[in-house]
Amino acid sequence: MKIVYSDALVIGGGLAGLRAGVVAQSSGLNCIVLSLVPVKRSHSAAAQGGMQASVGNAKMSQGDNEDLHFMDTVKGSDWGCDQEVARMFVNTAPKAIRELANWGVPWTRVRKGSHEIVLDTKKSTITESDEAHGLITSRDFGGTKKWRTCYTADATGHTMLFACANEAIKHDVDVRDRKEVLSLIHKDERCYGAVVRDLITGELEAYVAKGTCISTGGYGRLYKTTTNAVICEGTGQAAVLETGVATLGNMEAVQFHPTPIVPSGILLTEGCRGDGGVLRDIDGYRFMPDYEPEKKDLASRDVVSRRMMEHIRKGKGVPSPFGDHLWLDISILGIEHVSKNLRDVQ
Amino acid sequence: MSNNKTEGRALTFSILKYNPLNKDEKATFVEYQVTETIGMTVFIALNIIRETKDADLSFDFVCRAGICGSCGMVINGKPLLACRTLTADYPDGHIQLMPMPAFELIRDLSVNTGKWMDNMSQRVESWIHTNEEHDITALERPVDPDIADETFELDRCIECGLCVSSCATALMRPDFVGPAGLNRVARFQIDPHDNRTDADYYELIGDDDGIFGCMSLMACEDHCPKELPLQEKIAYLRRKLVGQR
Amino acid sequence: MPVRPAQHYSMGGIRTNKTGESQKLKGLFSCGEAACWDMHGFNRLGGNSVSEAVVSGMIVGRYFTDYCLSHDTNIDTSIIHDAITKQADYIDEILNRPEGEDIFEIKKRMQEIMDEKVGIFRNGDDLQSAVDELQELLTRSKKASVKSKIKSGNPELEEAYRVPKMLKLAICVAHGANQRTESRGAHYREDYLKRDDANWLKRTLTAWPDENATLPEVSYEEIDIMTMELPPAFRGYGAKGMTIEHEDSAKRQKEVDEIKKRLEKEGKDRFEIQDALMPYDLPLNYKDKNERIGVGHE
Ligand code: SF4
Ligand code: FES
Repeated sequence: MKIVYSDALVIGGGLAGLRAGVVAQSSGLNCIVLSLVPVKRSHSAAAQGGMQASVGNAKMSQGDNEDLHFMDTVKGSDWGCDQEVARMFVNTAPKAIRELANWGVPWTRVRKGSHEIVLDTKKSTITESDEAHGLITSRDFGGTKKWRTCYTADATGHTMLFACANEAIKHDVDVRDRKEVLSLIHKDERCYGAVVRDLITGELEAYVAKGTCISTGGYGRLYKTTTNAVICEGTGQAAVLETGVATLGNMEAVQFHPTPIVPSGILLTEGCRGDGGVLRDIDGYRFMPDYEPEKKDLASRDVVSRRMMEHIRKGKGVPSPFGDHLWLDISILGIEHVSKNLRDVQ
Repeated sequence: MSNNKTEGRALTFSILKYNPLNKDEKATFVEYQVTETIGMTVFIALNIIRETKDADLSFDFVCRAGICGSCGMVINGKPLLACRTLTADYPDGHIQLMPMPAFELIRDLSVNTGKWMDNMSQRVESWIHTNEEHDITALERPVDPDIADETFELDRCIECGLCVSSCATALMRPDFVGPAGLNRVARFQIDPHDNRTDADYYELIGDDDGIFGCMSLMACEDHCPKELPLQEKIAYLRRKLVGQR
Repeated sequence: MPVRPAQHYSMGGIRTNKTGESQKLKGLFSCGEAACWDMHGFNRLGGNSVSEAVVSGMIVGRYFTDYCLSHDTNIDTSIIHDAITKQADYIDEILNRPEGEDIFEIKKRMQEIMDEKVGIFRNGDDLQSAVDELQELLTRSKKASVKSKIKSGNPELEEAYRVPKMLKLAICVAHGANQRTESRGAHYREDYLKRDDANWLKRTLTAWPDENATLPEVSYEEIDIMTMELPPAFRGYGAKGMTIEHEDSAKRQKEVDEIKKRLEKEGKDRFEIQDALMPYDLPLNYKDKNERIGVGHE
């Protein structure tokens, strides 16, 4: 029987797990990160649109701060979140952005001078100050007061994941891929590691550690149509549930994104709407303002998704062999903008 | 949906199967028939084969959207991302799949690109080298927006390995850092956060397993799904590093 | 481009406390989407997912590291052996099953049920029938056989041990949704259209103590309005007047307004006011103020 000892065991090698692994290893612990797939292939890479942090550099983000980010997050959660955790989060997010810049995430930067943008289907011009030139810029996303989403064109998750994975390599974190957790080893209300299966050889191994951290992502693959990668099967949550002791929270809280492509389920990033794209129905009519006069196409995801389904139920969907759908129209943004900032959308 | 017309036809997949862990087994092509559906990709077809015909067939997919770089394979002689390859693009309905060469074979179509890329990352020290301390509570250091964009362009590599498997040098020299490795060096070389000098890069890749191994055949760039300017960057690096000899 | 809403993100997950540690198992931490650390509640904002991933990696990663630095692995090797043996036996059992159910079929059916009955619009009848059928599938999944008997690789074997686990999670989702007779964030009940703060301002907790059961044990964790910085109100989007108020909401709002007013008068800054309303901790220098152009560290 193979038993591998370490100080710190991280299960799941996406952004969260790698970042946690870097802390552990750089604090002098010997840390092992296990992953179903090579870590740079994690589902974190699919988060194209961006990362929220109230850096407040760009014209449309000025005046932003932790308080606004906090309020947006709590309202977005429909008051279901832990407000202290939301506070912890918003205060650290700008630091995370800046740390990642130092780790090599090539954040898209503010360019001084005038630029054309699309606001509510109308072109308008904003002027960025000299002072902000070269600082990290942000774009608009659903459910936020200010433009707060920092990004690297259309591959934000990818660049963030690579930066964290590279940092893990630099710190000599022991990353082992093609490993799947089957169960947790626990006794008397304490966890001591996990039983793991090697997906190449099929061998079972015990990874024993002082502490175990699970960062295996979501459980989207419980559903047939999902934007999630094929590995998001909830293996981490299941291992925890099967301890019989530890609990899962709010499992019924599942988000539906408004704009996956029909039929593949591959996501069209929120950046499409953030940058000015709009939803249209079978008649080419822009229906969101009728439902949501204030935030229109950029209300929070749960609201937009429901309004879309409501509209389809009214018979305004476009029939297809894969069921009725709606259109996302980004023609107003122009070829140049799309081919640079929304390249994967093409 | 460009392939409405070919929907419903019978496709024949011929797939090279081999399990290196089973010493008695020989590599053989196995044929499978699949009925084409609208918008079918090789990803979809392979899953149908696994679910209905051969539960044992091994291949890798993660994102199924051309983002994660898991699914490189040789499709009718060309290295491609299987999740981005439409079956409708093969008019005669015959599709042959083989694992990518240059990488350790795990089983069937599954190869260990992850391991290869990790070695490459170690080799070119694929991380920001700096001894400056940045205070993360303070404003970030400004970066020229053009430089940031240029760094990003090269940072788009998804480590799929298509360039490596189509590179003659990589096939001959197992230690060659490959187009992806040279691109990685070019990426850090532009990044203002990285303080390494040309001499440092020469240390890493100033030999025939590095920048001087490239024979400029350009197959890498033709196959890169992210359309990275590999030739231009390799040529640029070579000009810079020749001066270090 | 043709689009239609589809599953995207899991707000729920491994329930932790503020340091990211499980409330029930010491030494078990969780961060990122896997966790229910709970900054997203019933709906996550776009751009907050990768943000949570990194930020929780920093914060929880730190608390996790502190735990590992201050604890030992004093565990009996026999427990480790038992844990491995149990899994090894389970895999052998699967491989030795006589020809039975097709695991791919079961998985497909589960995914269809979730799409059709536990999707964007939910109602009691559909949810109940989802729970029933998922339980049946769970029982059937334990009779799934695999064609290839080899232990290495073997994708069908992987499905055979994963799908029952997935079914348990699916049951937790459907069952939790069935119990929650209100609409909140992404959880939308056609038969209970209002957000019900009076009865449902609480987190669903699920545990699975009996491995042979087909339903989890459900309990609830209250969310206390009287400690909130931002008491429940209208979100600013979505339909109006769709809330069943909790009596504490107005009470707390009044309290918050008074504290704010008083401290503002005393010339306190926004950080001091925040601290008076709802104090919180962060490790390292993460609590420090962030600099911005034009305003400095304000
Ligand atoms: S350079 Fe292009 S082909 Fe090569 S690994 Fe990167 S993305 Fe793939
Ligand atoms: S599966 Fe991710 S690139 Fe093909």
